[in-house]
Amino acid sequence: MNTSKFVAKRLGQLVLVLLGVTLVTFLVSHVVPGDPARMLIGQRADEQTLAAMRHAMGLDKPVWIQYLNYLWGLIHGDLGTSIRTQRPVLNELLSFFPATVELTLFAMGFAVSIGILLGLLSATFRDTLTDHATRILAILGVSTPLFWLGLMALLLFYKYLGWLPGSGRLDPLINPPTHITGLYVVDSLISGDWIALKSSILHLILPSLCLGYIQLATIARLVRASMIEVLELDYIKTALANGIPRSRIIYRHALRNALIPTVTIIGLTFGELLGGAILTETIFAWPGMGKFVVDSISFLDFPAIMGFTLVVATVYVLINMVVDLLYPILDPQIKGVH
Amino acid sequence: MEPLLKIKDLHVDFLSYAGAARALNGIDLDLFPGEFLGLVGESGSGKSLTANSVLGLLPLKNAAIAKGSILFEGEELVGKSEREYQALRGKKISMVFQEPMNALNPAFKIGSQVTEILKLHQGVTAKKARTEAVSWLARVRIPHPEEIMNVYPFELSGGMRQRVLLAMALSCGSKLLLADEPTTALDVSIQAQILRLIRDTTDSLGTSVLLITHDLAVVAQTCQRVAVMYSGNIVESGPVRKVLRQPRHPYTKALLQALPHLDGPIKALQSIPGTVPNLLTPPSGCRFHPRCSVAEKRCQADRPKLLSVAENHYVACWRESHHV
Ligand SMILES: Nc1ncnc2c1ncn2[C@@H]1O[C@H](COP(=O)(O)OP(=O)(O)O)[C@@H](O)[C@H]1O
Ligand SMILES: [Mg+2]
Repeated sequence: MNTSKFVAKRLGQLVLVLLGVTLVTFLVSHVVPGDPARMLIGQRADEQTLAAMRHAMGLDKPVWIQYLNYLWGLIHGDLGTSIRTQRPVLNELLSFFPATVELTLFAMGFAVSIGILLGLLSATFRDTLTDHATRILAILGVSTPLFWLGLMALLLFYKYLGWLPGSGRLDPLINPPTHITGLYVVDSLISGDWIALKSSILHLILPSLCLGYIQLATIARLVRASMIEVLELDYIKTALANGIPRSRIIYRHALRNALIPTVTIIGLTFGELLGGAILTETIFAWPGMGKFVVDSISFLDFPAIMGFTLVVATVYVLINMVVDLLYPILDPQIKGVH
Repeated sequence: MEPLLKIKDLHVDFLSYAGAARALNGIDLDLFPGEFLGLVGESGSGKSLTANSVLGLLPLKNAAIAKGSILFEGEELVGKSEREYQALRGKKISMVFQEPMNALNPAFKIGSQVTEILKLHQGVTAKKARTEAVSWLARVRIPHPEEIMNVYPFELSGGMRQRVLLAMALSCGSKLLLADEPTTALDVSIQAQILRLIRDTTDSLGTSVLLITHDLAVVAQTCQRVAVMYSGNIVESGPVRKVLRQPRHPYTKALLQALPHLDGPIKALQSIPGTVPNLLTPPSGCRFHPRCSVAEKRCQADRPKLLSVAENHYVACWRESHHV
């Protein structure tokens, strides 16, 4: 199957996935106790006002009608109105989206680059001090709760050492760079705003390291395992017998093959990072979608929560589509199989 | 004539928790320039180990050369550094293995794998390497070599892959080819083709070949000389005709008796009672004596040396030692 057909098929699947996601989130949000209309008008309002409010919000109709209304809106690009802010959910999400993307991309870049490097090191120097050290680092990564890690990092690097900023995306005294992509690092690079660039990178370090650490550990262990497996294979022996230097065998002959399973994990990782961003953004007061959704949850702001879920699901499916498109480049045997 | 490769009293140990296993127990083997030498023996007798020792490809973790020497063009190989071995591998001494299916890297095109070696050993430009690679593919009789340069290994049959591997092994002018059961994994119909190809190409290049096989018929068809291995020792060596027609060692005799028409591979030797010895607790003296029908007292006590019994014909057996 060719690429465009494959993409079309995937996009078709995306529609189905989104339909499922909306259905589940819609049902869940209507089963949990709590009345958004009550949240909005306050505890002291009388029954009449409440009924009027419920009617205005469409909450008095049967659930399936509400659902169809929601879908109808979705088709027209309307994610509903946030109960808390009374602004369209789409606009809200769009304004918070770049901050989350920037954080996630940095966490991802950090996890992938350092993760692959550590995995390579521990496979090459198997059962040596390097290997044991990475293993400990990795086990810590898998077993440390994100909120604890974040708080400890804040205490150490922000409170006691004072090396790094602990909240927000920029120094409060600095103006954000001209809005181009919404990613401060990219925007300040494009507009040559070095002060904003430095500040935004400094602000990214702690949250992205905390967010990426778990994935880094996972990737490092995976790369190690598949490198060790690949290094035992016949073609590695051929390369050795042909006089190819060991270093070249590792970074060219073995790594290329060892990365194939890793790429899948990287795709899945991205979804986990988006999920982890909720917590990270709360800890580091990062003004992204995660923080927005946490605020929404405490307000029972269902349209906002559903909008967020839809965005995460969409990004997740798209990323995994990109990963699948990358596969044939790494593994020629997959060409034409899809 | 000086031998190209001279292995003397080579001992290789495998270390495990259970103790050291002496897998090669004093190998003596000479290979002369331009010669095609067969190395036969049952599975586990140490054939691959012998070849791997020459190229310094023993598993670093648990195998070591305990003593002995390997001279190549008069130069000692035992104790060379990894870097020195690298300069030798693929350039002076090459190797092809038993499993062509997995011996090429699945992620790279044939062209890139062949040219990589040419660029590495001959320092030629990418363009020059490419034309040379194409002519090497043609030389191992691969049809449409230009196209084959651009395919991935999985698109080729086992026979084709072994040809590519042979081209890679010979492309930088190696003087010695170690071929470790190069046809065992191939279709029977392809085996003869590949053997002939190995013989013809190495013949025209003047490359010496150590052909490892457990198939006596292959030896009969392709080799000039043959060495027979049993449990880490060479027990007999000599011109193919002599060894196959007038075997002197009881093990070689048993091998040939087990094989009525010289046209099957060596299976487990049912006709000889007993099994291949456990290397952790090998028999004393001659390692074959527990299975030997003519064993004497001294066979249990001392290991016989490989001694000349006729011109170019060597046997390691006490019963033959009176010839000296
Ligand atoms: N990786 C290894 N670990 C432990 N012992 C090994 C290993 N490889 C080979 N041996 C031992 O060395 C002996 C010879 O092996 P090998 O040279 O592969 O035999 P052949 O090629 O004649 O079939 C085997 O009987 C086995 O006991
Ligand atoms: Mg073998």
